[in-house]
Amino acid sequence: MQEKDGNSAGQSEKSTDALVDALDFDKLVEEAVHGSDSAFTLLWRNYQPKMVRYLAMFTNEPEDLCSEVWIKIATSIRSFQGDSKAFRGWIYTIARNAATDLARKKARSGTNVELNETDWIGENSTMVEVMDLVKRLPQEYAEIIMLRVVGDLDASEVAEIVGKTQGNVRVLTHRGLKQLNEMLVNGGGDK
Amino acid sequence: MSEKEFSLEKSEELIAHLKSGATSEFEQLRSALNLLAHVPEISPVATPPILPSSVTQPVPVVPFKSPKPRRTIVTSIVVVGLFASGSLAAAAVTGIGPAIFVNAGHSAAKFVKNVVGGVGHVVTGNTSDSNQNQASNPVIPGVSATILPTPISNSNEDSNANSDSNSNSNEESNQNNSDQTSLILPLISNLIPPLAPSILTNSGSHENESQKPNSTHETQGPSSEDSNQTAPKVEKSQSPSEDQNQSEPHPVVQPTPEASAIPSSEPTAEPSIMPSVNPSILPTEPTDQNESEN
Repeated sequence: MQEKDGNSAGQSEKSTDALVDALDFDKLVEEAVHGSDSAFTLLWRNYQPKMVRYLAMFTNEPEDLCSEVWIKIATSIRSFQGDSKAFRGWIYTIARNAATDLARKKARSGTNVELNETDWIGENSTMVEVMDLVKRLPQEYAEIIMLRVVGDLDASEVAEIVGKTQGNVRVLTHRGLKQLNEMLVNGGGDK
Repeated sequence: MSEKEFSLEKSEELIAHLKSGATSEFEQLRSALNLLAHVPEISPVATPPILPSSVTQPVPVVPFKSPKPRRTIVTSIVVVGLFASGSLAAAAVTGIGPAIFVNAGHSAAKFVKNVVGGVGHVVTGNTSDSNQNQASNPVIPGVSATILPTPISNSNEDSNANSDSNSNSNEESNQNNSDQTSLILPLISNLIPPLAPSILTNSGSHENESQKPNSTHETQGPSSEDSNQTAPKVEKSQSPSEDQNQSEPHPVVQPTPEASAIPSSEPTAEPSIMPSVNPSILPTEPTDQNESEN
């Protein structure tokens, strides 16, 4: 499967690179929906790091959870309908549901899902601090900030994912950023 | 920080210009958000865990067609119908249960009786008796009323005794009589009246007399009041064993000496005997006459 994937990705690498350079994600999504492995791979390369970071808010092992999310995406991408904007919201919705399921499972088993510093080896130390601060925010604020900042989603897309109104998302974003700013100014807040 | 007011518009502006690198009055927050937004790139050789081409198409769900649902429906309908008919028959026979069921059972039994009676009378060819029997049909718990009057005409005491047995053992008969006898009796009662005159033609004038009690019973019905009115004399002669006699038509004939001739007609429940009733009486008449002469 690896060879096949590599071949298929290599054959259409030039065309897909052109698409990525032109940021024609609508075309990429359309091709991926029609079964193009190369287009799917490019989409994965573009969204995988952001998704890992977003999922890092929920679990200590975001890569594993992200792999599960991409498997779900690959199995159901043929039924997807929409442009790149809708695709972005769709994959983050899948990621959020997967994170929710995982948190529910861990809540049943009594496993603590809080992050610690060792889980962020390889990341910038400043980045770890920022993530730690974001983690201290209320879950609602932190999730919306991550979707808007990391996922690069606007208020309407986030509203669809989290099931709130755009105004509510804006207000929650504002409150979260305000609280985060206070924590940054005060030197990490309580910590 | 307190000097700078962090409004909703500024937070939206901060997020919107995050990637543009524009400076903000909340520089610390902007740099932190920049760190969050900046994600490391994946190596170009990395591949996704799965590709759409390697995903096997799910097997289309074949609609499950089983004959069991249809069979279950038919079976349940049959069972419910049997249960309903059984309960109605039981209510009609025993008279126990909600009035609706009892009435419905009565009407159903009447209908069945009419149908069977019609068939029986087609065989016998006696229409007048059939009308009488149909008139007496409403009184199903006293089914014996349609049977008993024929011997009653022979002796008043017997008739009273029988009516008493009816009235006294009404409740007992309702409770004790088995469903089989009570269900069979209506059929027999339709067949016996044509025989009754033939049996009673031992004395020719009895024929008219025997019809009178029938008519009275038919019009009045075997209600306990009527039977009580005619009963008083016979209650003394009643024996406890007559409860059994009530369920059977033939024991009524026992007290009379003429009953010796009747046993031949006991299996008279069979309609095949009926057409030949009148000729069959002739051989018996000489014996009766001989006895009377003796």
